[in-house]
Amino acid sequence: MSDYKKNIRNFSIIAHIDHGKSTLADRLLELTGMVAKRDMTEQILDDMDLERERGITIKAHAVKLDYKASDGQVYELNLIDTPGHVDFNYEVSRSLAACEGAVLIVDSTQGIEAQTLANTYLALDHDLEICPVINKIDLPAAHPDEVCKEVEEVIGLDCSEAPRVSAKTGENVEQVLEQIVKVVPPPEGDSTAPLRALIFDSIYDSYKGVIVYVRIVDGTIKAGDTMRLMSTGAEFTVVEVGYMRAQTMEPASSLRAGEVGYITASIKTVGDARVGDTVTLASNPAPAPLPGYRKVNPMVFCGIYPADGADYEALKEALAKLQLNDAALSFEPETSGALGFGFRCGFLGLLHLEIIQERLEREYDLDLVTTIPSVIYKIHLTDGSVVEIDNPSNYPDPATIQFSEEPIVNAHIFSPPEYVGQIMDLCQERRGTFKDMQYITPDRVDIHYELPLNEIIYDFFDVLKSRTRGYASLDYEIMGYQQSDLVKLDVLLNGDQIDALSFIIHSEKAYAKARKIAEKLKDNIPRQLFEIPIQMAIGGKVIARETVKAMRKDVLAKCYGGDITRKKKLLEKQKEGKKRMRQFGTVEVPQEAFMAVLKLDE
Amino acid sequence: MEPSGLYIHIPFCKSICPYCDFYKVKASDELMEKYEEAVVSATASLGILYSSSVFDTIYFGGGTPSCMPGSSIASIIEALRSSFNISSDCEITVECNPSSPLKSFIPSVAAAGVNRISMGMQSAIDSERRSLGRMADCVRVNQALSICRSAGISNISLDLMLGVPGQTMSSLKTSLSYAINSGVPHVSAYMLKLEEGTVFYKRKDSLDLPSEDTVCDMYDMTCSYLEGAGLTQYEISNFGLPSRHNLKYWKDVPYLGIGPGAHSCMDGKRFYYPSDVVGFIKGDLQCVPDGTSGSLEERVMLGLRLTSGIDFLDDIALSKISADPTLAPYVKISSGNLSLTHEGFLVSNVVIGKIIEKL
Repeated sequence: MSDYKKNIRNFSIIAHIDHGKSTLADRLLELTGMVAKRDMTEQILDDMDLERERGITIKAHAVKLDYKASDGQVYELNLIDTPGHVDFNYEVSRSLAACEGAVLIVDSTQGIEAQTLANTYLALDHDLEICPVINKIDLPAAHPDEVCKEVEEVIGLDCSEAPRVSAKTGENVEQVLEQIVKVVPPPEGDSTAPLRALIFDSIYDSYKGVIVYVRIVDGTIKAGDTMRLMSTGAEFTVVEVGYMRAQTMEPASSLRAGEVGYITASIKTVGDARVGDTVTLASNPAPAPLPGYRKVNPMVFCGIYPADGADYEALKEALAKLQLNDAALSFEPETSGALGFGFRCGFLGLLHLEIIQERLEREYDLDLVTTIPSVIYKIHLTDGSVVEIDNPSNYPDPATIQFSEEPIVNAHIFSPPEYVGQIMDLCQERRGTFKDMQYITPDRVDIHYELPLNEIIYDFFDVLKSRTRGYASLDYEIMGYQQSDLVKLDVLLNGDQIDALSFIIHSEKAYAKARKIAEKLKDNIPRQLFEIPIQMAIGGKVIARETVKAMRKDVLAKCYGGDITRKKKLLEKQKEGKKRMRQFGTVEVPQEAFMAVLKLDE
Repeated sequence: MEPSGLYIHIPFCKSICPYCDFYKVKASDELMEKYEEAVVSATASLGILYSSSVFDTIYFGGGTPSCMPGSSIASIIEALRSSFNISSDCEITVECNPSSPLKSFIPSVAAAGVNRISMGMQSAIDSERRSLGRMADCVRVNQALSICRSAGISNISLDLMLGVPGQTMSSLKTSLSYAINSGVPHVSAYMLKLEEGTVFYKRKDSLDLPSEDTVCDMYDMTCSYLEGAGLTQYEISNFGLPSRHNLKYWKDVPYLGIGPGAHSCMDGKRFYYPSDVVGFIKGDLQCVPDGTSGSLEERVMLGLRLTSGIDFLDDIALSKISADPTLAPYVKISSGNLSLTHEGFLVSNVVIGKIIEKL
């Protein structure tokens, strides 16, 4: 009976973004007959539209493949896909913890990138056997020999047997499967021991409730069992267990140690079955959970408001629906004098923010206004207490502040050496502290900086890409908090403070930013019946000022028979336009002005 | 019930002015002859439809009514008189271009009962007029005025334009004093607006237009100059002895428009003829419904164009308006009457919008 494990291989594919992970996964599915060629749409595993468009995998997925290897035996290959972005590092680590091996894809036209290394180290941390695969050999710019050498030198992996493939054309992809069978060890574990199953993903399905993706480490689980989540003690009756196929779910009588599969148990939100948690049985609980669980906490916060106040309920519902499937998303109601009723939302990072925003707009057809993203600041008050602030509105009176701290990240930027100057300039502009720089290969540099998180959550990645013509790659991890000279910058229109535009910023940067915002507002607030002073202030002190002059002329000179309908339409248009205006005191601020300030770039 | 107005659209021009977006086509004798017949025949059926209405104004607008033969205008007037209930003191206005052959035109229309002429002078400066596509020189304007007076028509309006290419404060002053010195009882002064689809609109970036601030100054000067000369402002762009016909538009009094592109407002409904002269001549042009008339919003938006303002708002609305400090410089409220100030006229689109919000 214990024999069943020797033909199981649990593996992930790790790669830098765009190195071809999803395409290779598709080929593996095709080769193992999981998907008929005619059913292949590009990148089956990425079934969210956004993922497909951005070419990145946001959520992990898993699939069981049956493969008849050259030794004549049939193997059960469990491919556990991992998200490919730094915001989702924790999810990557949980996926890797469910595996014994990893396929490391390296693009033969690009070589090692920041996330190649970061993910490899993550895989090595989990003691995974790594099968390097050199991809994109069909491209003219491919230089597989050099890339193999790079992988051997930098990572220390033997590449002599590394398959050189083109996931796009399918060339040599069979070799990848053979390597997996050969290199990745079968799982261990005792199917008669108390159940310990690692949740590496969970998704919400409107028919079945939450579908929990697990790797069974020890024990056995079947329908009818009472499962218990070890972090919360919550118990559910298992409705169904089974295996994931590419496009279907295949119910099974049980899942045993070493296997990868799914559990449904009428769980209502993914927050109840969080990634990294351990599932055990109420009847025979494991003495201790699997290591490594932590509740992922949002790092980046912003206010999300419906452009039309009438959409508040719709926005609330949409956020709640997204949260069913995304335990890392947090939201709570918030009110802004400028923007009305909305939500303070928390995200893992900026990509996560963008994804949520885009899904709200696209899938739920909502028009949104988003405030400037913020991180969590720790403000030490003179009375010795510490407050954590993720919303500028809650910033304490400066007189009561002893000092402030902000989160700092360890950032590694990989780039060809010719861009080192630009990258260092950028990091200096963003208040970075240079740590060191290493030549990984003669044409690849690892630049290591400590950067304040609030300097990179906004447009850092985009600027980095544009200054290096797309060549640089970034990986970062939170390293802790550092004392910092922070101030809260307020915007006053006609003397009234606009709460939604306040933000916390390093004092050195406040003046330049203040001037820029004042100018943007001036350019984007239409002239009104009276002059509007725009003031940027820290505490009570105004540090920048602009004026929107009073409107002088807006008149229809001729209004006779045929002009009357036109004038009526003009009034209608004015009313429509008004809907997109935010009334602030006596000042009307168009949506676009907010957007312009929020989109304020370099 | 207040008598209604009749508007006859004459969609013909000898040449097309670069700023004009009214419906018009190049004049040809054949087309104009057929057009006259079409208007006359439309008149007959409309007369039956509106037999209960009394009309006390007729207005020939264009296009250029004066590019038609005077006899055609006379025939149309005759047809109108026979089909509609026209009051004996009817104000009959014809828009004229000074470059039209007015020597024969004016006496002939005067004989048919025309008693008011609106003269499209636009500017007293020849170069400014030329930039507007008006080829007649100032001498021609003088002649036109004396032709009208010889024919017994002294109720003349001169059109002026503000903010035209090349215009300055001092050249505008010349035009204003010309208008005053000519002794006409009425002046219309329109700030140029670049309308989409016109030559000016296409060329807007290369036109030597006065700045917006200068145009505002021009408007200020025009109002005070004309007012000082005794031509009292009664509407945003109109001064002196009011056109009874045009007042109907702003007081929401019914009017019936005939001709392609002409708009009507009768029995609480708005409708118009599509801009299709050939269709109109064929007689198969159907009027297009264009909503209702008489709503409070509409009456406010039109009535506030007049210096006399409006007196039909209730106290609640008036107190809301007077409580808004941003409106204070732009409105006058006294004993139940609301009107716009001079500054209010210049930003009337916004001010009227804000007032309507409060209703």
